[in-house]
Amino acid sequence: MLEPYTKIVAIAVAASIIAVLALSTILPSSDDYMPDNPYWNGQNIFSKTVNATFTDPKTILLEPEKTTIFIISPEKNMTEEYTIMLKNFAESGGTIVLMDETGKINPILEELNVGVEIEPHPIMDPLYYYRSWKLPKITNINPTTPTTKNVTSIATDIPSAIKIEDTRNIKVLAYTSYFSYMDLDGDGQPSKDDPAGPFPIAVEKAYGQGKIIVISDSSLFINSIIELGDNKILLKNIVGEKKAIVDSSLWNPTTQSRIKAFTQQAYNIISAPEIKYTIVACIATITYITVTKEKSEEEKADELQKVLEKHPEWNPQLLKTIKEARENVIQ
Amino acid sequence: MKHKTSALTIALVAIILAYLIILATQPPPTIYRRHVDPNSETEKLPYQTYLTTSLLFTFDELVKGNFTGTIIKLKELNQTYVPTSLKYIFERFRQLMNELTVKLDDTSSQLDYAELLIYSGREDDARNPLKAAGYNLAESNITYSQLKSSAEELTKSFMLPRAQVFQKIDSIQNLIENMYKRLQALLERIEFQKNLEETYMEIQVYPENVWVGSTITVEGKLYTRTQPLTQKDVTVYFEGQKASEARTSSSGLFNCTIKVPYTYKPKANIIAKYLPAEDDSNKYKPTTSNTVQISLLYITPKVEAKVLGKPLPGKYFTVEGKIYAERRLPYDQIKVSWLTSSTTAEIENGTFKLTLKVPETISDGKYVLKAEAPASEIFAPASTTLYVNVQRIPINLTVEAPPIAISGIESNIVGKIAYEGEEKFNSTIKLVLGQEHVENVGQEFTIKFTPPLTIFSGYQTYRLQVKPQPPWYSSVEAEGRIFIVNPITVAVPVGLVSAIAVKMLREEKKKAKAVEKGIEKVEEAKKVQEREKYYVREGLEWLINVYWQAVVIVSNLTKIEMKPSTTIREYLAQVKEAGKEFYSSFEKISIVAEKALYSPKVTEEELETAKKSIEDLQTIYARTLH
Repeated sequence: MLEPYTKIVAIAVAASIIAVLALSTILPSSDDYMPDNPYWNGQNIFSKTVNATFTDPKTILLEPEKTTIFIISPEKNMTEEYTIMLKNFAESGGTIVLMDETGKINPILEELNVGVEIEPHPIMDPLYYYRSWKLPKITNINPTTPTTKNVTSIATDIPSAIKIEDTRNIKVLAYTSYFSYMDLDGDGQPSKDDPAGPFPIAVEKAYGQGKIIVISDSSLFINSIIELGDNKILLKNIVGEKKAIVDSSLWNPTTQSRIKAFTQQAYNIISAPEIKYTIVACIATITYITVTKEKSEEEKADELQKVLEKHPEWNPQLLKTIKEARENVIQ
Repeated sequence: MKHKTSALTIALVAIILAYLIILATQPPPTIYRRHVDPNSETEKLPYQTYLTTSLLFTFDELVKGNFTGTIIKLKELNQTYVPTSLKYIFERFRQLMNELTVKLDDTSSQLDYAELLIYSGREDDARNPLKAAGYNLAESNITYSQLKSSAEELTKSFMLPRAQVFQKIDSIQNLIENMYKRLQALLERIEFQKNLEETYMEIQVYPENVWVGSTITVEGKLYTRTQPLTQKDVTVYFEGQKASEARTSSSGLFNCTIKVPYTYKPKANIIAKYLPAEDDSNKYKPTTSNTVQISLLYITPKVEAKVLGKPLPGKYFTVEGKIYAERRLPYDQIKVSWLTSSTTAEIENGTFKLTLKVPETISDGKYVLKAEAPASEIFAPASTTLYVNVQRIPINLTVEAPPIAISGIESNIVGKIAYEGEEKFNSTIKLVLGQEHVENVGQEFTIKFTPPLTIFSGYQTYRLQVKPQPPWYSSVEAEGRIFIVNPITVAVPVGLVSAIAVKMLREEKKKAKAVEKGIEKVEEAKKVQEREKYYVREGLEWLINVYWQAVVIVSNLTKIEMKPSTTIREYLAQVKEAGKEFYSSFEKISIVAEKALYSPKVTEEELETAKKSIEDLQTIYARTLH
């Protein structure tokens, strides 16, 4: 009596695993900055605009002079090896864009000796903004750099200020307005002790043969912000003809994203000829065995059927028992 | 069926629950990311103090008469965030401010122009601009009234301090009034000048063809219809710039000399103006003389330059040129600008030569080179522009790659670089194929590579980048595909399928052997039977069949079923009471069957008894049925 249940439960478990994997892959992610997240905090517009690849740059071969790496709001600490990789990359002609408002990238800015740091207090603007003071509109933009060409306004989402410690080779790309303030006391209002703007929010530094761009707001290119100002133009200017790579290895993904990544990896592995053909061969073998077994069982069932057709009055259960007993005897 | 449906429902619920759990499981944030969804934010009004400040700054600029500054401030104001519900009010206010600024700016320009004409003695010409100014001012007044109403709405909607805003708005009224006053004064001046005595002035300039830097003499006469004007100050203008002043003599004549500035254009205009001062302003009208055009003489040197050789990155190239003029040049250097720097080249016998280096990292393309000779007294500046075409020497790359490579086994990619010239140099060759291989080689190279064992079989794209060490050669890249066979990964599926096949074959063989063994056993049993005259268990299947036929008959007769757990003896005991007629036969069969099952020997007599007993039992059963 238990056998059919076991079979159904096994099928249900297998189906739920397949369904979860499929759903996780098909349904869009809601993780911050993810390229497959079409919601306000995703970056699928960014991804499409510059055809960006979201990956771990350590795992791919980089051509610095043809690549721009975006490091956006890293959650994980960066290793020394990683910093060296970035340093070599920029010195060989690569462009690195560091975007963060929390100050998490300060150690890397120090390691790379950029001469700037992020001051993690929020900058608000009560006059030039989008909908809320937390979303300052930047109009004080350096018109002379190729990075800010044709950019007249930049939308931001609770940015920070950049503290410039060493002005050598530093070019400020954009400042907040004179009316902006650093909300030190966190009351959201311009208070007496809150430092007043303008504050630099984007700077550029020539670094070896390449350059480093620091932006004190990680949300400049998220779906809900990228189309408010000229952020898209800014993004295109930054990337230019280069290949855009967003380092996704520094974020902590959610379970769904992990499953998605796992499914993707599994798919990639399964796509390999060896695995693909092994699966085909296994399925073919299993099918053959199953069909053969079923045929043999059918033959056995036929024998019983024949007796019952001849003697319909005989008890089928009893005949089955007899048959089994006979088989036992033969063995 | 019911069980199946329930199980499927449970499975479906399990799928949904599993997915919901996955969606709900979020890792604890390691940093607090600071961003909000703009659409979820409540619309906020601009900070009143700052908006007021911004508005007041704009008004200040307008009141000061800085119309350009006002427009800039209005543009800044336009960047202010305005909630959708208040957009119309704000936009209306801004438009009116803009309109008023433009009108007042135009009025101011018209008034300035009219003033200039009036004080040049052209009162009639001044009437039109004054008319336009008057019309503009009337319109400005209407716009101002609308602006006030709009400001009322604005201060109310944005909760701005009304008194502060209106204090400034009232100042705009003063500005308009002042303009009215100025208009009035100019109109009055026209009327006043009508009654003044008309004045006239004529000038001659000589020589009319003059070298720049030399002097010219301007002579003229100032007079009225009736008399020459004596002891009056006259101003002479050279190309609109005040050049000299003169005082009329007792006969109204005046003269002065002007040094012609070093202006390198062929023609120049000279005029003189008389603007009555003090008491004269109540007697005489201002006047402007006739315009005299003179021809300016100067020498324009000719500069020619050309690039010698082929400019290549990292190498020097020569610019050669000449500069010549009708007279000997007063300088001996020429400025040459290229890329971001400039240098000077010595001029010898009218020619110059310069060697410049092409930066190693420069991209191929055309770059502007400019040779400039300076202006020097009668020599006008001269220059020439040419394009320096920087083009690296192209190289051709031919690659011979194996179509197939095996993981773990070294393979070679052979290549050859071809280019113009005999120069020998090394190149950095980079092969990108799963991993990176870099080599420094000459014109022909062989790159050894071993496809890693960690990749699956299949086509792998390789890229070969050749970067010659001398910067004057172009880099070149080639791309292709190699089929990589990984013996390990290939062996796994082949092995697996082979193992399954072997196992299946073995099972088949095993079955065949079992059948053969069974046949052998039967034959062996027959031999034993013959030898010992005894029947053993093997070959007695029919007897067991006989027993089960008997059981079927008995169970049909007695309606007592033999359960799988019931032994032969137990069943015999169960049916004993139910059927005395067949019991004896069934008992005999049961004993023989039990013996056949559990005892090693069954005699011929016992088997005969069993055969007879089943026939008896069948007879009884048939009788019962009929």
